[in-house]
Amino acid sequence: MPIENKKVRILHVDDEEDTQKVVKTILEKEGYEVVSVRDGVGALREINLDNYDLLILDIMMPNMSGWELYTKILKIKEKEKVIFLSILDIPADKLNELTKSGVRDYIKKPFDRDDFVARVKKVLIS
Amino acid sequence: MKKSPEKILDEKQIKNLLKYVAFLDKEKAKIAARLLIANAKILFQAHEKTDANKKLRKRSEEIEKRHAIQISKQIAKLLISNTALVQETMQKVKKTNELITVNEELKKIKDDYLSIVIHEIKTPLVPIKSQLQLLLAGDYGELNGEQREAVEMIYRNEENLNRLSMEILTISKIRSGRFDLHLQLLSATKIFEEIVKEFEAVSITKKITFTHSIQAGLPNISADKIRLIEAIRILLDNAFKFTPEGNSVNLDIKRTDRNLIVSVSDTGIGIESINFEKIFSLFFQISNELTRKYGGNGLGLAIAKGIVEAHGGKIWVESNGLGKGSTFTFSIPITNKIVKRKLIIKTKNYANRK
Repeated sequence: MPIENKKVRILHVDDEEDTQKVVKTILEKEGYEVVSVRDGVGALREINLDNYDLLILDIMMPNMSGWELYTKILKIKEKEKVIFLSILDIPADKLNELTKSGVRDYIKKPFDRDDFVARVKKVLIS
Repeated sequence: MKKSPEKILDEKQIKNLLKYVAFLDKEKAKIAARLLIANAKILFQAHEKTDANKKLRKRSEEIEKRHAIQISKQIAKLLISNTALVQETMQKVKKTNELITVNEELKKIKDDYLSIVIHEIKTPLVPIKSQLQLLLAGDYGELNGEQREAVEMIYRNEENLNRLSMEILTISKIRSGRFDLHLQLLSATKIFEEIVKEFEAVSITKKITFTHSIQAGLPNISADKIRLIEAIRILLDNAFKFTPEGNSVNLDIKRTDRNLIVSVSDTGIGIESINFEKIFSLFFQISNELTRKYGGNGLGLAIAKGIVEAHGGKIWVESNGLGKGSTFTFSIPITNKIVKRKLIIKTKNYANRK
């Protein structure tokens, strides 16, 4: 594992505990540091406290959806790298809109491990 | 001269009445109004004439007046009955509209419900899939032969469940008219080269000959790349599924003046003509025996049909009968404009035979 990867910090926001766990396991095996939180409030607290190289956001979460969370994040740190990781099958025009607003990728769950890792890496080096 | 205004409608009264009718049913009432006003004018002109010559033609005037009263009465009666009819029709229309709205709302609730259920089914599949992939990759230690076989079996079944849930979502979108295409100008040749590569690998594993002919110089088409590939993949998947080892599958792509024609033919089990249409309907499977032998869920062709129709095209099948292979063909209009089409699909349910 390259040493510089150790410094990479990823924040994963998902209300499903098992999903948190597998995402953490997979990304840690790539040498990244992963912090998992279960909702938007926790995510905003983390982002205010710390710097992350990448944010991975779920969409359907209680209280604050991933969309809402994303608009709030943009107000705090507009250059944050964000990937959505969601079970939702979103319409193509919405996807275009998101890409235009700066979202780096939209990965659908259940995801393929190799594909997921490759896309995370691609966003990290971009 | 005695007039009985309550019996004779003057022009103004008729016009007022007609305005009321027009408010209810514009087209019918406009025609009626024109006719009746013309009638009434003639009537009043006749009156004026008789007035001028009243001394000479008093008697005939009286006759005419009586006539006028009668005609006016008839007009009024017609008008009233017409109004009642219009009102009745309007009420029927209103009721039908209400029913349609209720029906659409119910359908929407059903579709929303279905997509929620599917999302709930997919949620636990996320960690299941990831953990199985970690197990198979040896991240938790190397698996012995039996363990690997067991994990692979679970993984295969998880993937089937995942695919099924996605297909059900697609179908529910197609049926509810919420199937939106992401249309862009695509090079037809490029799309087909991609899919050919994918199925060349399948043909080697399945020991089935795969031939393909793609006409040179295919035009650019306005299509949803992912969906179009999905439709061709469904046809090819089926062809490879229902064709025994040693046989062949052929993909043929050409153009006519207006359409792009994609054909997938095989030398497999064939289809009886009685099933040519039914085969594209939801959950239709020819027989239980085939389902057991070849698998599948009866959604693929319905999805392919939905995709093709959403592109403004047609899909059909030809076969010389059982055991004689079959050819699935679809056509998509060639257009260099990106046209959004409203999808209207007539659905017939041929329930799966159990």
